[in-house]
Amino acid sequence: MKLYGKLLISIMIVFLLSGCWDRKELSEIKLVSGMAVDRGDDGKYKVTVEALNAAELNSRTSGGNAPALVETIEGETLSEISHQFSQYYAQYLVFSHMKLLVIGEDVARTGMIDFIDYLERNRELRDDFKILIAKDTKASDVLKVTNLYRKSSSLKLSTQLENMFQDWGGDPDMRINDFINDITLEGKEAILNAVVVQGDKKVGATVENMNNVTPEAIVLVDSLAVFDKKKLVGFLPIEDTRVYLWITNKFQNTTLTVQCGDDEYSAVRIIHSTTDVQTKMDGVIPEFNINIKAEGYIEGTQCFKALDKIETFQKYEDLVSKEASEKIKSTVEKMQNEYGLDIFGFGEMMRRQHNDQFAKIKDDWNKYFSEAKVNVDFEFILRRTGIRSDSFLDEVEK
Amino acid sequence: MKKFLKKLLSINSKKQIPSNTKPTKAEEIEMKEISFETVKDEIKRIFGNTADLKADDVLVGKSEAIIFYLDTVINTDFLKDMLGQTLESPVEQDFKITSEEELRAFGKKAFGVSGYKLINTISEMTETILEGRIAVVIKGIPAALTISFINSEGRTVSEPTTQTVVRGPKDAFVEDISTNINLIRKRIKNHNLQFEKFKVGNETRTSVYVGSIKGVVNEKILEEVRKRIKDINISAVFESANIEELIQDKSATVFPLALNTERPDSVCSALLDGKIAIITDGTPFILLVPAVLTDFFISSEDNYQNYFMSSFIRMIRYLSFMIGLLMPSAYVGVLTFHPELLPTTLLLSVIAQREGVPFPAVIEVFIMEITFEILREAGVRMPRAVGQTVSIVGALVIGQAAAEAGIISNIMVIIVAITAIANFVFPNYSFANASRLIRFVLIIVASILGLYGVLLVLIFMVAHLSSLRSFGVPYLAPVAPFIVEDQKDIFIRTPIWFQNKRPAYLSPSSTDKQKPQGSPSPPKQTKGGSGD
Amino acid sequence: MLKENISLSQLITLVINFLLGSAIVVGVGLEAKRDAWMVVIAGFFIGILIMSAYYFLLSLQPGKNLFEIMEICFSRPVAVVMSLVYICYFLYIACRVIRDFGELISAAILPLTPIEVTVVLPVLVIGYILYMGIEVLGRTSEIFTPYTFAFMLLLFIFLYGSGNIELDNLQPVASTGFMPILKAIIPSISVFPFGELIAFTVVLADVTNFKYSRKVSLMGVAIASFLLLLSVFLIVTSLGENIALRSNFPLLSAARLVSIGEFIERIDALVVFIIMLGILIKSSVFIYGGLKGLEYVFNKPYRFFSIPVACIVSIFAVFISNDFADHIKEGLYVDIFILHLPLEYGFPILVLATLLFKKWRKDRGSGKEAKA
Repeated sequence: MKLYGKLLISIMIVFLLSGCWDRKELSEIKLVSGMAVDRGDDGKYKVTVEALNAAELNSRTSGGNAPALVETIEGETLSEISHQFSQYYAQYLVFSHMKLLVIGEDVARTGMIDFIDYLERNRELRDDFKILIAKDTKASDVLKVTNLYRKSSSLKLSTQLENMFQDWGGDPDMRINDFINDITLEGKEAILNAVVVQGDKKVGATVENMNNVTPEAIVLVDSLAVFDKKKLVGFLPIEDTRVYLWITNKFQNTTLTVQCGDDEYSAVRIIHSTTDVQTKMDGVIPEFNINIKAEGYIEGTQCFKALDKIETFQKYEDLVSKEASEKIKSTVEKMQNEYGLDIFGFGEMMRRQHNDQFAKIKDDWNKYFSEAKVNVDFEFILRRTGIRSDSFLDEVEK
Repeated sequence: MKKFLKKLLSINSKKQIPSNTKPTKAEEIEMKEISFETVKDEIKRIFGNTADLKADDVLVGKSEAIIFYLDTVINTDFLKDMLGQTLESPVEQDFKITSEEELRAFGKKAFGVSGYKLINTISEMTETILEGRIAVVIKGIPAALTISFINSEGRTVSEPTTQTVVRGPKDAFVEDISTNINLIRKRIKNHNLQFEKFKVGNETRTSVYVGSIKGVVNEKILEEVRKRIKDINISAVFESANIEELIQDKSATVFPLALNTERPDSVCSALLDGKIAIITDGTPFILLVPAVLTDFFISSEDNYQNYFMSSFIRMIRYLSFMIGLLMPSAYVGVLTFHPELLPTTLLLSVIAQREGVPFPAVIEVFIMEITFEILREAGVRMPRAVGQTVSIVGALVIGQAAAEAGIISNIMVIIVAITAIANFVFPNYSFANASRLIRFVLIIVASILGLYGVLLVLIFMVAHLSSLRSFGVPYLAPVAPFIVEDQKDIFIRTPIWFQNKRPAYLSPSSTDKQKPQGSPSPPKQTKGGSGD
Repeated sequence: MLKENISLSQLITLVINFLLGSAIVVGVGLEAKRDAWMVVIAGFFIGILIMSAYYFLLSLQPGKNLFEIMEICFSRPVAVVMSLVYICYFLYIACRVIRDFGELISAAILPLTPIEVTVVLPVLVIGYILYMGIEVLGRTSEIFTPYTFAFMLLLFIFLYGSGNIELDNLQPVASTGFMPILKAIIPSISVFPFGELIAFTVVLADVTNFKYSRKVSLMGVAIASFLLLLSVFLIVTSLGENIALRSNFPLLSAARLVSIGEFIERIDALVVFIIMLGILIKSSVFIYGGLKGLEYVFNKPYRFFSIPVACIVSIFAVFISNDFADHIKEGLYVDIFILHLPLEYGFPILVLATLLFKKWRKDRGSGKEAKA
């Protein structure tokens, strides 16, 4: 018995030494932080990848070189292309820390977003990267613009979008799971943020771009892209993202400007808000009742100086409620009349609340959506006025 | 084929040399068979020509006598005083000792206080001389009178070197066994505290005392301990560790199955819980059996600090055990197999640091760990005067220099330093050694299979721990099997007025330590109000 | 053969980990889409029923496990044949469970490592544990169960904290009618995982305090059902039914969504730990069932067989299916009617009936004697 034990152990040692299959040393990998997909000239897709130079991103070890390497390859499938990048890069590309996906306008307009299956199925890619549409420019150009914040373009953009969502409501906070859900659901259409590159793209791709106080080129979050199933059909101004967030109850914070007099405006910061949407069928026309309750405080005013009176507060509340509900209504109507696409998910809400009725009309939902009645009930409570009560303009006018 | 393999894999066995596996004892010769003249030669023959054996001729009354003793073991000044007063003073008195009874009476009169004994055989006389007694042989009487004059030279009681506390008693055991038992008896003034004496070791004949508190200890375990000590058949015993190896349960494990301590207060509280103390002559470390895993995380200081603080420190100890075990292997596993588990900014910073490092992560870890082990051993063995240079700080400096030279990355130095420091949190050195060994196994497995392998080895280790028993008590009691009453002192320390029962996993003979009482509360106000 | 015992607390941890085992890996009840939680609740009741039935079967002959009871009911040759059938059945399920786990590791964690390596190592650990005895299994499970709980609850807290739980995903409730739900209950969830409690007919015989083991094991079933409900809830609310249905390993995909403060992200390892534990214990219990059967058939102590059987299980775990689709199809469609239903329900009912019949006959016979 002892004999066989020793044999067994020697065999096991050989077996264990035969190789560690999944091993990748840190010096052998390169992290990819952003991917851009354009329409290819020869192949179906042209994929650009931004791979980080880790040494440059650490202030101690940086040598003033470019923070990332951006290269492009054409091909039919994203998967093969992502492994083909060994044509350019010395190291393995690791996609698990990817922060940004940019889809070119040409790809989106022709509905060629089938490549998203690869993004969903792959075990390396997670759910946390932001998705953008590149408007009026190639998607690869978006990745090439350097920026002083974290040096690389995708790192800057992903943090920027996160903050935009929190602070002003300018980003619809779309991830791959949400995007796929929206495409496949019958009562909702997908939207994504769109960016443009402003300035000189050639200089933007160099380190000199980071030396100016106002960079030569910068990526700007410009508008909201609207999809009809898989195809991109148009763009909405960025202010409408707030309406989208409001209706889908993802709203965080924003600042609303209201006109309180002739050429006089006030700014109100809205900080907490909950939305409740009730849908019902009024005969053959759907009806949406949107109830929003919000609260906030005044950030700056050019009129209504007597801010210590309750009446002033009530005046502001009325103003904000009116302004906000008008904005919401006008955006929804714009979607109904110009595009005829339900990006807000009213169909989804109807499916949840009145599934049987929705089941009858779900095939033509967008048509029903265009004719629906929308009622907005915006209730705003003004809580405080910052650290001053009356405005000094009171004194000046006197 | 089989024969060939057998030859290949077996070690050449040497020729058998006759060995001495029986206790070294002088021959059993009755004293009556030897005449007075030859007894000196007989004793000299048995002891060889050793220079410290003294055989002096004295007069006891009118009888001639010889006293035998080893002057290196005897307190010679004391001997001279005693002899002067007792043995030689009756020289004026006219008496002769002619029979054993008279010898006994004489012994009682003269040495009754100091403890005398009559012996009849040469082998007993040899033993008693070796133990530090003088043997008085009187002409014509086939018995010898032995009186104890043992010289307890040794270290004086001082601070413990291994298990220090901030608040608490600072005396520690010494090498002399009577002083040790003195320290225990001083703390437990209880007639139920019993010690049984054994002699262990064929050549060394070391005294081993087994202490327990009657009425508290589990008699079956005590019986088992007795049996195992009696069965010890080994030539030399110098330290309680030798005994520990011989009496612990048969299993191949790195974990210590008996608790060893240098502090009297630990021993006393363990005795009161129902454990058995094994005290060995010649070493200040006392064994406590049966031991369970959670005993190694307890320091006696826990009882001398506020219970919130002690609970917090206990948690830190458990946490540092896990850190000391897992940190290097987690580092290797995550960096080589699962870089996706780290947050992006951390990962970027680590990659930046590791750029230019020539070795893979595993080799780095091994180099640093082995260097650390070498440094640690050197720090222990180095003579006091030079010892301070080679300390943890020195190791960090070497690590820093190596990082600057580009051999290892900075983050490696941090990890190894944290691991080493986490290892020192243990109150018990033998247990810390076990975790050092397992750490290496984990690093190897992490380099082959990543975190998956680490998890597997952890589960294997827990299964192995669950299968260990220390004198019949499961090693992981009272966590598994889960005994609810015993949880009061394991992960947190509950206040002392809450710990009313002894640990149930030892099955002690009496379970209650004290009456259930609430926390001390201020005296109730009488209706008359204060300020009378 | 020394009688080894597991205590009641170890029994409850074994039941919990057993039921969670592979049900957490592939997701349970998701054929009913959003209404999977109703399926789990129904499964809970079925589980209680089954456990009580098995306990009742064992209580008629206390201290004897399934194989010995078969001998009492029928003769020894028949019992030996049926024991061999059950041994193969238990070992086959153990292979499937290990294969599930191996697929998870290969798909999500270590893609390049051959599945043989990923599968051999846990099985060897199981072999070692069972070689040391079932007490060691009980103690190991007792030690790790609090962490399983803690991690499940942590997962819930994290998912809630990172805002991923959307209760709307549960609506509309039961919109497609009750048929899909019923189809998912019978026979899917009655067989997997609750029907597999038959393995406990072998384990329950070794419990110290047999009287209380009924209450304890029912409590275990309840707690495990609660944890399953929690996991199904998390899966449906955070992923949405569409993605949850298309995920091979839904709980892992749900855990990937956690992202709190850019620090607590990427906690896959947590879920893998829970899963690994459940799988280990589930397959240990099944292999133990097989070993006990071998002990009964060959009259040798079961530890004699533990390491060889472990090796056999690890090899067959690789052999039983060619690819993932084959594995799933076999589990969902083929096994249920050929293996699970007859052996988990049919045969035990037969044994129970025989025992009751014999008891009735004995009572009648002794009644007659008393009269005479």
